[in-house]
Amino acid sequence: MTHRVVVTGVGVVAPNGVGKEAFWQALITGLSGVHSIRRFDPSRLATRIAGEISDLDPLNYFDPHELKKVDRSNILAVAASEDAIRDAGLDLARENGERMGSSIGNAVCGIEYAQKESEVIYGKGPRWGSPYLAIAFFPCGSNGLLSIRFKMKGPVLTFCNGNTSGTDAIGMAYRMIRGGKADVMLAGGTEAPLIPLFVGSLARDGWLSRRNDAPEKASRPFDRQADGMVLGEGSGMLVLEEYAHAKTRGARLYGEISGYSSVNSAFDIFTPEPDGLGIVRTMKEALKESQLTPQDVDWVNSQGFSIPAFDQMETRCIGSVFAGAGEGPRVSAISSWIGNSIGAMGGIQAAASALALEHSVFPPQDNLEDPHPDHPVRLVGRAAEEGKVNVVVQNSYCFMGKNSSLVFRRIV
Amino acid sequence: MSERRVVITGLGVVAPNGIGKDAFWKGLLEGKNAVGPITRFDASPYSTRIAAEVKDFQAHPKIPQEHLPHMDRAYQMGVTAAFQAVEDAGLDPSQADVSRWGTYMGLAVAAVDSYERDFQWGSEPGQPRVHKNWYHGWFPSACSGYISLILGLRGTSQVVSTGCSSSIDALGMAFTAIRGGWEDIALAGGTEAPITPLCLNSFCAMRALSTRNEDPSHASRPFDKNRDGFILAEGGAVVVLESLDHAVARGAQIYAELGGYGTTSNAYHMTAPDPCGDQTARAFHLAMEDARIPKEEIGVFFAHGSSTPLNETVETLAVKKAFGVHARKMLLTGIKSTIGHTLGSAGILQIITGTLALMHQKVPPTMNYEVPDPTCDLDCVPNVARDASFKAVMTNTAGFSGKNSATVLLSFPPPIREGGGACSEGPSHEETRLQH
Repeated sequence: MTHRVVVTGVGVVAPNGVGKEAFWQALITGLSGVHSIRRFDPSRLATRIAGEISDLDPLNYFDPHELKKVDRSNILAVAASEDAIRDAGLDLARENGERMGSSIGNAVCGIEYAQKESEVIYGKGPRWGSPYLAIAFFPCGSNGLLSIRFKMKGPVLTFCNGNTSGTDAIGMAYRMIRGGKADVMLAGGTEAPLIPLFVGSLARDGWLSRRNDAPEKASRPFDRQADGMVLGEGSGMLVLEEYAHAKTRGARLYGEISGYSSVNSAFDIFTPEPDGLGIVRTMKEALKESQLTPQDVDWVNSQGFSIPAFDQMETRCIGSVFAGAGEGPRVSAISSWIGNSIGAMGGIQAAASALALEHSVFPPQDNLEDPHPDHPVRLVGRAAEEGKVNVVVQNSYCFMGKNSSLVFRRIV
Repeated sequence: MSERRVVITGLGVVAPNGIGKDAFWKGLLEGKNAVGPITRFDASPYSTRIAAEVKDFQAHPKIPQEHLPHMDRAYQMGVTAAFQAVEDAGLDPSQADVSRWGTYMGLAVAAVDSYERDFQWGSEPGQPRVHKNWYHGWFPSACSGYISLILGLRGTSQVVSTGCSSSIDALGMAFTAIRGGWEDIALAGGTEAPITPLCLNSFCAMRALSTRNEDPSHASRPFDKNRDGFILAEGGAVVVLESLDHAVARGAQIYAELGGYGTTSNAYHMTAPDPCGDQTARAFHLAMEDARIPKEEIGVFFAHGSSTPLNETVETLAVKKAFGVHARKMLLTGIKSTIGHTLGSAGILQIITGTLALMHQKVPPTMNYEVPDPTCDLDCVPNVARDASFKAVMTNTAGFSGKNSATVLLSFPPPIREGGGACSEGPSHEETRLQH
């Protein structure tokens, strides 16, 4: 027997807003989170812009002596998770911790902490090294901190799949609840990749936009003038719950996760598969698992790299899945507002999926000034649209041929 | 739809005591020590200067040359083990429909061997001297990505990172996916090449490692009273998991059945085990419940046995809590005594050991056992391999952040059960459920 899985809490720490409300208001009113980098001096880098989080005080989440032990990605995960638990109205004292777990996507691990420690041991010597490095740079660090903080003693998992990490973490959490292994799972992603080496080398290799003079214009998926992606940081976490568990405690239900699929293209490290069979397959299989047809889909919450070859592949795939499905679903990429936060992206996209269902609003898409004519899909413009949002397909894909899709639907 | 049964049909190993399943198994039975002075870099400034390195590692000849310069050592070991496992299983991905062949790899640290060199150059951000697209060589995502790409597998490709239990959780996800019908075949395993200055020092700084630098071959001593920390090691290992139906249909040799998986979290401390051992014991219970077998059927327990003072004390306590009087009838063994702790691949090396033990009905020893510890008073098969008769084994892994992940492996075909006849297909789930 399989269990139904519902979303009962949403937590977000994103470049355009900290907290679920701030994030949603920024998204639907069209506030960009992409600005000049302030965390370090980027003046010698080819790309000097990113989706940075500036209005988060780590001391709201950690004591000063605890802060020395954690990477920034851990802080973002804790902040988003507290937001999600509060939003879900979960009374942790009344929950059975053994039936609660967490599942987090994180693509680059605690790279900021690791780089700092590297400077310490090569500069001052090994005995100055921090005893906390191993937990701060292991990808499992955020999960450990969360399990202790919320007394979660069930399945605790971290997925490191590049851009699909967050979507996969949610998909696997869905499978754990579906299979009866847990009643409540915190699921999403976290990432803090903004260090000079990472930004600098990606920029040098031509992956990042160099629109340094107009940061808000830089992330432009599906636009003909796109010149590369914008890196971002953040965390998006959902509270997923077994349906009867959520009903019993009278929780608010944003919607249901009804399907997940993940496949590999096994084509090339960087180049997207020309026919995009991977992402076509994940959309189709996730819909099949949901017992839905392409006609049922209202919004495609797309990855949107802001790299023309990738964006064209994605829209070609969406077009192929929804060919013959009337006008087809609306499509937009929230990365146009916040950049691409790699392992966190799927978690933040999922927050938008849940909130779109709740508010019956299609999140808008920034910087579509010169849409590529090859995009055979209905892209949402710069203004949010109200309308029936009953079914959302969320797509993630990345280097190394990874593709994943989730289906969110209104409870029926 | 009833859940599908999952079997192990291929083994691939790159371990400090041997490359390939035969060398690995022979090394374990003989108690061949693989711990020695670190040779991969000058370790003289560090408080621990010994480790278990894989000597003479050569990447599998089928890995295209174009990839090798970018691939971290960990990923080369992982892909090599994957090729071995697929060959051992008699599979040829190029001749099959691979759309439901997944890859699930565990990795605890990320590919530090590649990226920490680059940190030293990172202070020149304008002109990073790192080679073009350096990140794909160490991105954790590449750990499974290279396997899917190079072997051409088009099911899912996932990397699970849960500290030292990573490869067991990767195996658990693969198990779930085959059971639930999402995959037919999955390569499941882990890989790690953590013998680097930064990684070594991170463990030195938390005093987790043995400092028996003068006597490396006796440094890893699980269950011995004088254990003083773990030995860092490297290696990659992969098993082929397959639905029973799929394996039977293609006439595959079936080594063992993966019966159950259980995972819990202590919610106690980031690195220290919870001294009460309750969540560790619960992981054992969950794995046995999942496998639908009573505890009395577990004959051998492949311990996490990391050789840290706290681990084995808590692990022994948890075994007693979970197994009661049966704990004294089981054999415990700690293979880290000879090969050290390979972090993200440690669990899958135990799975391979457990599979080979079931097939050969032999238990490799816990080496370096000299001084009994009253808190570790179960039979740990000290120093000499033993013949034994058993039809089910358990593996246990404990990971940083407080993870416990256990599995149950069953011999295949299953032995004759009371009241039932010999049946090569084994009892159906319904029948098994009635028995318990």
